[in-house]
Amino acid sequence: MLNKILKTNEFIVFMILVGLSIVVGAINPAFFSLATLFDTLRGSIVYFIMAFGLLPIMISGGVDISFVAIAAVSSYATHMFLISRGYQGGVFLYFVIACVIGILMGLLNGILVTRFKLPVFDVSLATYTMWFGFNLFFIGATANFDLPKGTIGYYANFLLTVKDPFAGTTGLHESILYVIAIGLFMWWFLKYTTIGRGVYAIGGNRDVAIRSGFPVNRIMLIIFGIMGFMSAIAGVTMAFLSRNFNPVIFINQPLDVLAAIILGGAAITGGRGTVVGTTLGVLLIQVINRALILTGIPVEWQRLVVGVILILFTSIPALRERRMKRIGHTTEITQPG
Amino acid sequence: MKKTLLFVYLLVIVAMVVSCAPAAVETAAPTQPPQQNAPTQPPASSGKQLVFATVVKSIAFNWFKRMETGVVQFGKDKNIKSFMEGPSQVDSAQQVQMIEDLIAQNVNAIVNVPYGVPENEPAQKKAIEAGIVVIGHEAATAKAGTLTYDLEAFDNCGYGEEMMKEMATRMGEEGKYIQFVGSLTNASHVEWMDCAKAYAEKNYPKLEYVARYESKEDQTVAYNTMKDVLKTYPDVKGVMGAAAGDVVGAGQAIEEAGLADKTAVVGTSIPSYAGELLKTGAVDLAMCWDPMTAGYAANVVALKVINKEAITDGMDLGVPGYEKIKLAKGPNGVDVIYGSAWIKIDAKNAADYPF
Repeated sequence: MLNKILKTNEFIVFMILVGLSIVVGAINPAFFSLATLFDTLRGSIVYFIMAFGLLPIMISGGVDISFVAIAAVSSYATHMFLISRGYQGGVFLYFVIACVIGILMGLLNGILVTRFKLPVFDVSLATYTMWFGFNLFFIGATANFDLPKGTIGYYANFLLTVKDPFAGTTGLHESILYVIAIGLFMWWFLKYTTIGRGVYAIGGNRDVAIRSGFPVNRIMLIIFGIMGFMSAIAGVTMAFLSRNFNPVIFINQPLDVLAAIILGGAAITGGRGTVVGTTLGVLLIQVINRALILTGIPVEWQRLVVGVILILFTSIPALRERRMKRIGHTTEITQPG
Repeated sequence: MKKTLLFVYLLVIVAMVVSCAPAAVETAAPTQPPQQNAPTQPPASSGKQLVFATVVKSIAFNWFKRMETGVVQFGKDKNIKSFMEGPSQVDSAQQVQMIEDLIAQNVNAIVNVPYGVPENEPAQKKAIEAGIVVIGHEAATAKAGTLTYDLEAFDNCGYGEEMMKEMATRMGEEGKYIQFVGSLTNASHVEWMDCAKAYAEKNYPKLEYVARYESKEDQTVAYNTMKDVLKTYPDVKGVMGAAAGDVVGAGQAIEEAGLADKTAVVGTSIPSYAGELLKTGAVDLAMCWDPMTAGYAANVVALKVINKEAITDGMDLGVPGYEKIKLAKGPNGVDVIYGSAWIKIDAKNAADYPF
């Protein structure tokens, strides 16, 4: 049992995360504090949500980048609509409207993929461009800082606050609860539901999945709907955390999320990937990004260093797999968990 | 059946689009109607009134709506038919087309704020050859002969030094400070910050430069960076920002850490971005230039050229911030007029600058 855990991809990513943390902490002791943990979690919240939403699509063998555009349009359009109606209430209505828009937008991708048999990536490339363009042209081109009265202060709804040992205070934002709820749901969905098992089946071998009687098209529509839903939550959460609604929010971030999922052990060809791995992948990307400032590496070096670290870290699981193949295991058995 | 479903689905999407669009138009509505498509009256020859046109990157920005108020005010003050136009989206091709049309209408002067400086040069040259005075703005890199003059609100070095003075005063002229730039390849941002740093080394020996960070023009990046800076250099007392979102992101991080009173945050921003943080004191000072006075001053230069008045170093254009202009040659040979027209916005005067 223990031996099995030690061999999982998640464990390796976890060890890398621990190793990196020790290195950073040795250079800057400020890294080992609750404040850093809270800051890192706050920076990761929206990436967790988006990554969880995207994970089933990756497992089914598709690569999607349009989820950031869905986050941008659903949040920005909701905001501009509510503001124009003089809405002054809380955040709940934002989430409701944005999620409906997000699900519909996700389903559009799903319909294009299933009805016209188009590759997921091609469809998402088109909708990514189209939706950002739609936002800029029809809804608005500038960031909007006018928030309804009921939502002001949302960014500071902390579950608990700690005194930062070095400077000021840091809080754990309540939206971490959404992350936990969504993470648990996705874990249950992928592991214990027929549809979730079907997602792995599709990613493993689509034809076999069809012959085994999985309703492949319906499954694809459901996971695209989930993606749209999660993207909308991420978009609205991000907007309230950064206190403005931006029509091109996340426009440069799809690769960060994809990288996190792949680091977490999902195969780009489908069939593999777990919630735990994705969680670790998101955290790893966050820590890599923060490590550079915390260790005082000059900004001119940052991009080079990030690239080198990514190459090193992504190659470790691949090397391991090659070794396993040499030993005689054909490949890992699809084992979500 | 399935086709009907698909149709209904598409209908819902269209309905969503339609229901969102008017809302967007409402909120984006300018405080005063844009004066695009100014009537194509016969040019000055038929009457005595001069016609000045101002062409901007796009009329879809609050920034240029603000510039338009200056352009219109200039027309009223000097009894000149002065109007502003521009594409609805930033697009050099459409902008060039507008200049071509203005040449055909034989206006007396064109003030151009080019989106792409090189793309606009041939049309500007053609206008000058047709006897039209062409004044550029934000186009100091234009080639000689493609503009009669270029007018800039300030020279980059002076702006950076002013920013440093404001920050240093608020820090009591001692302590550690950091800088943000939108990107390390943004020439203006880097020049502001280089000059600020050089000025500090000469004049404030107790100020200590820590590092320069790249916000990637993203407020969230500035926020996360600032959080980590506070951990790594807990005694940072000053922050300078170059991109409009830099001080907003850094200010939010500082405010949430409860350090707003202990840290001086000064940088380029505009009230619609930094207004809330200026009020709470998390951002101490936002600096920028006012497009209204820039639009006004550029038209004044055009009028002076038409009236055959010489533009000289140190002269007064009669516009706030342009009382003592500096003349210089741009990097590619065009004559550039520099004002010192930066404005400083704090909690008290933020309401005076609605952009």
